[in-house]
Amino acid sequence: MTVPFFFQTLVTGLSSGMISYMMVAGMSLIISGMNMVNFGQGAFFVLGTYLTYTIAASIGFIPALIIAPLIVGGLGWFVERAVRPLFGKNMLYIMLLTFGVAYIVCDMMVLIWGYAIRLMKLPKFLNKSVAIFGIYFPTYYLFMIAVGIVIAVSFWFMMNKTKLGMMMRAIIKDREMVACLGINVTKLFSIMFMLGTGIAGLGGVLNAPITGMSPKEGLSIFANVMPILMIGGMRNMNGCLPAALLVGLVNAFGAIYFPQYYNVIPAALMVICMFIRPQGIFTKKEAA
Amino acid sequence: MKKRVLSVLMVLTIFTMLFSGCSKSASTGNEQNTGANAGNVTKDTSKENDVKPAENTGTQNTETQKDNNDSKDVVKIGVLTDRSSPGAATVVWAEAGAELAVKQINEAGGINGKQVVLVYRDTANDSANVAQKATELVSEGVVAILGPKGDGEAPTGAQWAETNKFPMVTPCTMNTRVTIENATRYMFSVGFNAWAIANMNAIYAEEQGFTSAYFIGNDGGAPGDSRDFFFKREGDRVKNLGSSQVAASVTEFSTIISSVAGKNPDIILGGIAGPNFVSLINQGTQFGLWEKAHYLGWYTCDSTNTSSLAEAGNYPYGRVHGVDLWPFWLSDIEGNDEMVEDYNKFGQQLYGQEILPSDMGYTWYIGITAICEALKTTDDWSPEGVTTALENVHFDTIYGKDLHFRDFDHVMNHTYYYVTAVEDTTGKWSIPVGEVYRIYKADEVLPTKEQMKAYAEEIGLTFKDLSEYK
Repeated sequence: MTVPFFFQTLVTGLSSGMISYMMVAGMSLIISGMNMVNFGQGAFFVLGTYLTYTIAASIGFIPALIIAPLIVGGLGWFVERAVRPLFGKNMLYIMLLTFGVAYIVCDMMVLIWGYAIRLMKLPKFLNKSVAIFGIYFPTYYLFMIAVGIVIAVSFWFMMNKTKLGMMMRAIIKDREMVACLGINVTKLFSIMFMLGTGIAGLGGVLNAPITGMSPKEGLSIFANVMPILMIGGMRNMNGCLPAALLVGLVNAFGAIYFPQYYNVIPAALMVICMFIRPQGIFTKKEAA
Repeated sequence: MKKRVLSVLMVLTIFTMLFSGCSKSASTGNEQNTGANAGNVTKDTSKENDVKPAENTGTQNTETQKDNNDSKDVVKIGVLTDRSSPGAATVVWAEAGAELAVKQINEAGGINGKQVVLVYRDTANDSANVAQKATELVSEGVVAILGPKGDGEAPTGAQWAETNKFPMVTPCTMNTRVTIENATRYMFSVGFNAWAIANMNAIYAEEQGFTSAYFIGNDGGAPGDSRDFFFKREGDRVKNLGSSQVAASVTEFSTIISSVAGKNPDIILGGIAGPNFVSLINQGTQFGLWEKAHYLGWYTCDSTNTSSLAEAGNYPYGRVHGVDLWPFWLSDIEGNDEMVEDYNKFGQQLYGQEILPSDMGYTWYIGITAICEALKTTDDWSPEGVTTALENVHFDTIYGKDLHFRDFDHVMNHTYYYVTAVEDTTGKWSIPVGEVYRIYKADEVLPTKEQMKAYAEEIGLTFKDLSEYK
């Protein structure tokens, strides 16, 4: 492998990892903070893509980058209200309800945008290439890496340096205790869910110019990134980014050396991880 | 109080969303029924005809089924569609093709004076649903079934057809192993043929002097065939640089593209369609892959694949080559433009969507046409009677003469167009059109009986010659 090719693969792996990170970051927040799995997350992701298609066509990509996640997050608020009565009950009920929400959201998208595959035109200022070690690399992918870093840093800052983050971390550790302290846990859940779905929407926005999407993909697209959640640790938000980058890089180099088995690499990693460190590679083992 | 109000609001919102979701289907159904009165767009989803499934089909049930059709004064044809999986992205094009065939048949007087009605069932592209949905269709009183839609469902469909002795015409792209392993006189294929695609791609590669290839496609099935038979034919002449198999749900190809670019292949053999195709071609354009390599595949000018790419300005014109069935851009074919126009109208009527020609729609059109033409040739509309009629049917379309199913494997003898996708300079089409490289008759590219037999032996299967059942 030549040095330029190595670096191209490296950057591709990182950008691929960042795309995945955008998909799982919100989900990870919801799982960690609310102890629930939102099966509708894929639908919110695709909704972000479709909103971008419409918004960007009229007012441009950058406004879409802000507006679409807000709309998706707003819808998330409604869904959280619907799920709320099921908190504390059998997890299966929440899974089924969010799965139902996914179907509704996907059908709504069919209703509004039809079945056709959509693809957004790349904004002019991002439709370029830059040379990295002599190999041209699309600017848009570098842009995605940059946005991913901004999201990751903002997340870290919010969780570790703000009062809201402190409360969220407290909820993740001990929900009852937080409630006893008089903190409005319900409100925090709403915020977490909105943030989680909004980030999924942002992932969808960034995905719009690179991926051909159909509305029904909201039902299945999330399966592709489940290994990242498991490798990072289901209840460990901090593990999300390194896990996504790891999977992206392993995928990129795996595609060169094991192209035939490219498809199964993330799943195989997940299975290995489940045997060796079921709590996730990037999660510290809790003391007994 | 505030909580109660909010809860009520929530419930109302969810119900509104639910009903608005349903209203699509409802309105679709209404539109289709309205169309049935106005323009012979027909759909019947009633369950009032409770005929037992064909697995119990004896004379009695067959008679009952005939009576059912007689009493309604319509001929029902079942359709196994997919409106729920990611593959449903192409459903509008597919169903519009079927409805277009029905319109043409009904406008020409129907079948022995009876109007044709399509009855749909959604398998969600899941083979686990095929048997149940097909059985439901039989209960509805259909005389034959078009479907299933997906390659992965074909084996189950064939097994169901064999077990129930009920005629089924599939529009999916057929894998040779499936064709051999699940050969039954009750299953017919109007879809692309993977071996034929491999042959045409290989001929093009030979004549263009391409010497290295990399395959990107969906797991196994027809895409796998299109790769294996390509390399089988080419032997050592074309260097096999590798193969990346991707799941249908995968839309992120940058890592594959990066690895492929490092190998510098002359051609990318593609075995993908729908969102997969759009994503790969788009990302390939962004990474400059198509400046280095050509793409060889099928559904090259199919609007389900090409519309969004053309709209986004990312279709690599002149670099994508492959097989198409519907030469919609050939306006000099009499009736072509009217057919395209009618086809678009069905997209509007069925789903309120503008559609342009698609090979998938064409195969559905041919499938329904074949069934209807077969029904015209016989008074015996029992499953055995319809199967025999399908075995013997010969018909013409504006695109080809003497279309029929081959005796020994029940594969439709389409005319295949090998094209390079280019930008339409006339401004008539917003999608790529085909610059025809060669037009193939089916017997030039489909595998022969001897080749099928030899391949069956090679993979340890027994070749079942369906002409012996005729």
